Amino acid sequence: MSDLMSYEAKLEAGCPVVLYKGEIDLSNSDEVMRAALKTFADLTGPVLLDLSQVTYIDSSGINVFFNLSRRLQVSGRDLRLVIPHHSRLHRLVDLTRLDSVSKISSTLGEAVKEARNSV
Amino acid sequence: MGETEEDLVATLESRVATLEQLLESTQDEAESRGNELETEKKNLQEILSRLPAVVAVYSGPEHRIEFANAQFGGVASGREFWGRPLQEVFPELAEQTYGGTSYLDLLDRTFRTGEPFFATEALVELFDSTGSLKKIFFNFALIPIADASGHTTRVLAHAVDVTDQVLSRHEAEALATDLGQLAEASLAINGALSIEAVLQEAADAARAIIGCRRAVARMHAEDLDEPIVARQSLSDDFKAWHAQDRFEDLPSPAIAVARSKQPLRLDLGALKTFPGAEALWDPAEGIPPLSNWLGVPLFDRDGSVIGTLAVSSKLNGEFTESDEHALVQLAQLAAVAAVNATLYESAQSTAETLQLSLLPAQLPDSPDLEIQARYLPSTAGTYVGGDWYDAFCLPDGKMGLVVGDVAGKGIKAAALMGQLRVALQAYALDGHPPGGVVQRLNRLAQEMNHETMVTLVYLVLDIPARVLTYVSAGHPPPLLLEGENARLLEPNSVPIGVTSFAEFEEHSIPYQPGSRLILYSDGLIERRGESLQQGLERLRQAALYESGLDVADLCDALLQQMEAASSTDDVALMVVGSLPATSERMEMRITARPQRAADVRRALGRWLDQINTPAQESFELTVALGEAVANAIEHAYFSPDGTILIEAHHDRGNITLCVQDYGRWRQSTTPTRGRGLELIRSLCDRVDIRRSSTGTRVEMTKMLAGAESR
Repeated sequence: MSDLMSYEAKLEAGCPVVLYKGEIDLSNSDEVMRAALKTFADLTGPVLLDLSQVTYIDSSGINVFFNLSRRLQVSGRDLRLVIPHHSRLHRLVDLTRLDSVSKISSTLGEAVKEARNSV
Repeated sequence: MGETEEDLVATLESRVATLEQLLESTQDEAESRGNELETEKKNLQEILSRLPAVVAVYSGPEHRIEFANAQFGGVASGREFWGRPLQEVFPELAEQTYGGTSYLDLLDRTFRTGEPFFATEALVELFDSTGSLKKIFFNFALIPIADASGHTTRVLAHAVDVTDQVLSRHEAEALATDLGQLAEASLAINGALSIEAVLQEAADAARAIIGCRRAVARMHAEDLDEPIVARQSLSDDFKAWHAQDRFEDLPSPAIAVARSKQPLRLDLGALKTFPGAEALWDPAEGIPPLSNWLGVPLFDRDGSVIGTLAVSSKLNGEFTESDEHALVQLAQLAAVAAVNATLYESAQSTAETLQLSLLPAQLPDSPDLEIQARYLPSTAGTYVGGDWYDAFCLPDGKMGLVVGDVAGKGIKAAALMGQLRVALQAYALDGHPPGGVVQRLNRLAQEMNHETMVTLVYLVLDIPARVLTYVSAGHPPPLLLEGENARLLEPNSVPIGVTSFAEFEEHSIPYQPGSRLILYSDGLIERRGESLQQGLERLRQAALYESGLDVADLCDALLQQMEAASSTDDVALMVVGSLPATSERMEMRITARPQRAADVRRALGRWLDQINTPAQESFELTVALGEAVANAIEHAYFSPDGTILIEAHHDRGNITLCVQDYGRWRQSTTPTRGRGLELIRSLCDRVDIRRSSTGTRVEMTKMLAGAESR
């Protein structure tokens, strides 16, 4: 794991989540992808990624989520990202239309609740 | 020597006594014991013949040979001598002298004065049975024999042939002279560090020792076709041989020596009939012909011929067997030295290459610092040392700086240096504080068990906070230059590798923008006959004197002022300048690696903070720059030097960011990059992309909110 970014997989109210912290850029975007696949490959249901503690993301990071959603579509699974209201990432989500391929929640609790409802 | 002479005298005296008794008895009882006399004479003769000496008794003023042993007969080689005067028997002795006096006069003197005479290593030349003069060296004694009245009537001569000893000593002395010259040549040859120097010394020595006008030492490949290294030595009257600049080529006699692996001696006649040797005895006009030639092979350790050593035109006469011996010895010396020089050169270049490869190829670039380093190998001409310097970026805008010195020289020291350099960086990047890094390095050095002492100073600059933290392990103190102040960063802990219980204390001090930090190895300040304190003071004064220069010039000026080029030790010097805070512009150069993108964002963030850029716009500019840098890193994959230049400046609320790479444009293979460019366009107000054969330049301008109203 690089100094820039760390992640942890955890259960939030029985729901698996990967929590990313730090900055996501071209030096670690592959790792972001691997962390998500490792956690969710053997499971069913929505994929929850918590980006509330991500302070920076570049297009290679955004691209990870596009790729991930494309893979999940095949099995009919949802990609749900947690991005708080105040996060600067929103500007990038808007610009890249990332919200067109994933569902965005402002808090983890909200994300879990919505994930349950959608199942 | 004294003892031997005393022994000789004692022996002679007893012999003389016996003879006197005998002679007296012969006189007294001549009549009655005539027959007995003959018998006694024979007996005496027989006894004396057993002596390892020539013995004779000369009687009367004419020195008639009255008595002689068998050895005397040998020297007389068939001449009639009984009862005849010495002069008649050995007429050739008339002109021969010892110490300026003729042998006959010496005999006369002892006969007249009754004084014994002793001579050592007296040269006598006598005709042998074939009629040729033969040289004999004698240690001899002339002993007077007196009659009853005390008058000397006879002289006894006792002579020991010491020819063999004298000749072998002369030989030994000649050999000793040769050996002396050889020993001198050996020193010169073995002191030479390059093959060229070895060959030159060998040629010079060969010409001096043998006494000839020309000597050539050559090294060549076994097949004799490869180009060779050659050096020649010429007497003044033979300087014209320089005109014959192809002396690297093997002349035919040298080829014969190399092929046969045998020495070859040619006088003029032999030289003239030697196939292909015309250029030697009948050279081009203006070049003196050679009168004779002697060559010997140079052998490798495994007995293969690696070259030849040849002398020609002896000053006096022809080359002799002993010349050949001397040249063979010289060739042995030269061959060993040449092989060693080859090994030395390859070891030297291996160590140099190793060391260069272990030093950082490029120092990190930072918008806040300028870092310059120099490395000067020692002038002592021995092996490279284990000095090193390093600079590397750490997280959170910190910069790690190291200068170290591994005791010892050569490949081993350079290799250990490389291990420690990498280990230190690894510990530092692992997030350990300076004290912890050095502590771990010390433990590592202990475990590697090199029994080598290492001194180093490790320094971390916290660039945003402008605080430097350092740990010194027995290394001379770094110098912090701030305006008119030059301060040595003491104190110091013990060197690394000395004890596993060492404590490495960290010290932190703030530093000013515009200050200079000078890190170095002891080669910079050490000077014979000077204390460390004096050396440090010289450095302090030099740094203060040159403080107005920029970092690169300061580096060079310090090397010059400290006379580093003549240091007998390696010199490593690193000067770090903290750039004065400037809000107008920012510039940095990075190597094209994805890991460096974060450093660029960090630097831009600090600069944007300085000029009070609002947070959201700062973020957007950072994203835009990040995308441009990512593009450049992808292009730089094809670039020769792999660097990227980043510039930023602001002007009346407009912030412009430029990213320049030096690679070839490549159509992006992933949609990501296309998305990146889209992002840049969305985030900035103006984007200008210029592609050329030398690289791509992306210029992005963003108007800060509220700028229009200003």
